[in-house]
Amino acid sequence: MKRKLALYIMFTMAVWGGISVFIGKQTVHNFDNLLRNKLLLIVGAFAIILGLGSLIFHHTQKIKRNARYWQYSYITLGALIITSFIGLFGGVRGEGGLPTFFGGTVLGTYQGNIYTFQDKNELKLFKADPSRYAREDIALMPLPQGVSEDLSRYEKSVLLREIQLRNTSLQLQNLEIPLMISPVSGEVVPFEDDFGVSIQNIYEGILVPCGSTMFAMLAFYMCSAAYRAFRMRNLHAGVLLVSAFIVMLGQIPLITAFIPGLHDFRQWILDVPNLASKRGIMIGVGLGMAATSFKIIFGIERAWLGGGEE
Amino acid sequence: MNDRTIWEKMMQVDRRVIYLIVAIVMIVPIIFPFDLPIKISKRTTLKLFNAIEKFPEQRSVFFISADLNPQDQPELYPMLVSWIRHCFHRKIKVLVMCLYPTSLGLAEQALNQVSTEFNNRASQGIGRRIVYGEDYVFLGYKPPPIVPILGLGENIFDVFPRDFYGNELKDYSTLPMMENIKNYRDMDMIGSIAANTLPVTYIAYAQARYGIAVTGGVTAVSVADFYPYLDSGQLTGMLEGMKGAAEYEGLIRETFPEEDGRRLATEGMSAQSTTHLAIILMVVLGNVCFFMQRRHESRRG
Repeated sequence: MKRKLALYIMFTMAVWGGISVFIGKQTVHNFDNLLRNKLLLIVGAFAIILGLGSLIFHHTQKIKRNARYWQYSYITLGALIITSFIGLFGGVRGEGGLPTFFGGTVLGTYQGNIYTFQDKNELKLFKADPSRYAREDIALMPLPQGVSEDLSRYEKSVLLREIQLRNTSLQLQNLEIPLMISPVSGEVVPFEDDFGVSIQNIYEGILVPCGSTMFAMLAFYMCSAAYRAFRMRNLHAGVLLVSAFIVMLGQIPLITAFIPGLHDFRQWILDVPNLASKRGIMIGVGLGMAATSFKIIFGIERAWLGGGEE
Repeated sequence: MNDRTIWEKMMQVDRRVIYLIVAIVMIVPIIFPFDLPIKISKRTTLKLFNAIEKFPEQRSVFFISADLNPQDQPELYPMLVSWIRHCFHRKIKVLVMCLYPTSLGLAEQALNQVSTEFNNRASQGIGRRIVYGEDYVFLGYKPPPIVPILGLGENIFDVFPRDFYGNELKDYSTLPMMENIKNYRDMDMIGSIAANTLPVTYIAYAQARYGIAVTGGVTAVSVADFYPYLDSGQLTGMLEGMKGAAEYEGLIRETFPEEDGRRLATEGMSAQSTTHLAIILMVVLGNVCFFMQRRHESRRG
């Protein structure tokens, strides 16, 4: 019965999705919008929960069974817990309800002009280390009232942006604040600031360098593979090799500057032979997708339902 | 005992030697970049540039779906920066959205970078100041991709009640540019920056249903996949990898002489060119060794 119910729901939704495009009635259009904008959003949210559950189950099982590379599962689960906690309770920039701050000791205190936002009395900018900024950096910018010229160009631009974003004004106060070194950026920041280990810090400090490194390594593998495996063993491989050469050479400005017509020849390869073959592949794939969709809609293809009892 | 030929030895050279060569040809041009004469691709880069140039000032909206990830950053990030710079120069409003959570940081970074560049120049009396809410709005991220792609065709406020910073989209005092934007009909073009086939998804769902123009910024490796859409006119030009981004940077510099921002793609082209050359030479060398060895074997019987 469970499988049949799923099939009925799928059939109804698929047929509705198809016919709603051809019915011009506003009521039909509105209902279609409701399904697509609201229902799909709810289904999507459930899919995330399902994916999360599946990830946790997979890695806990791996640890339980001492499967190959089970140690890495601890890292995955640990990263999931830490980032979820910071993301859920610490806010995008560490502005959330729960403190997500760790590390850091008071270095000393700073006394001077502190800029606070009028609405939230929030500390955002201050001169922690004036020696870092040259006097030449001070730009002649029309500044809001209360902001002195004793700021670097960068500080001013950040400050102006904050004012734009918050649609608020600033107050200038002479305060004494304790300082610390940020555990993420290494910069001197106010200890009592709302600074924390935010999702943005994790993104910039961990995800961006890791992702870039992984992709950069491809260049080494590709070069090694090209040297060892890209052989002109027969005519087909020869045609592939020559066309790849021309397209690659056409990408190099240094070469195209010396060989007239190479850039245009590369473009011709992309425009004519490439286009012809791509179209053929796309038409084939499109027909295959349509056939598979019909098989799923009419319940002929049921692999998507998975196992389990009827 | 050891009767291996020089060709055979070369074919089986230690992979670390190849890695070292690649490292050298990649790192040296990064440290000492050199200028390259970059030829503009008319069908792709120039077509897109001209299309944006034709948008009427002040009231046009360029919607950017910034779906780049850290691993695509060298190729796709300069495209995003260039599009934003071009729009700001031409007083075209920019609306940015992400379909993946990993794209949020880079999208925000690009918006901050370009607005800071403009505001710094404005402080020196060059150009105009960029104001959040008036010149651009960052919508943030909404899953799954099909929901915002279709939903934005009907009502943007249903899909994104708030922007990335938590401002209500209907709060026109904070985000005045949103007063005139309700759905795709109020936008002039969608620019999809992605390392996958998302531009095609925009063509299939947003363009086919709502008739909006679509363009793409894609990685060089996936360029061939988009040519059928370029040929049919469904894509209004596109940027092809780092070379496309470098071409666009050059066009912006030519058209707007006051533009003095860093040209990341142009800088990266020298390293990419030398690495491409190294790969080509490696393949040639590998094949020469292969044929010489085969010849040697056939002679030996």
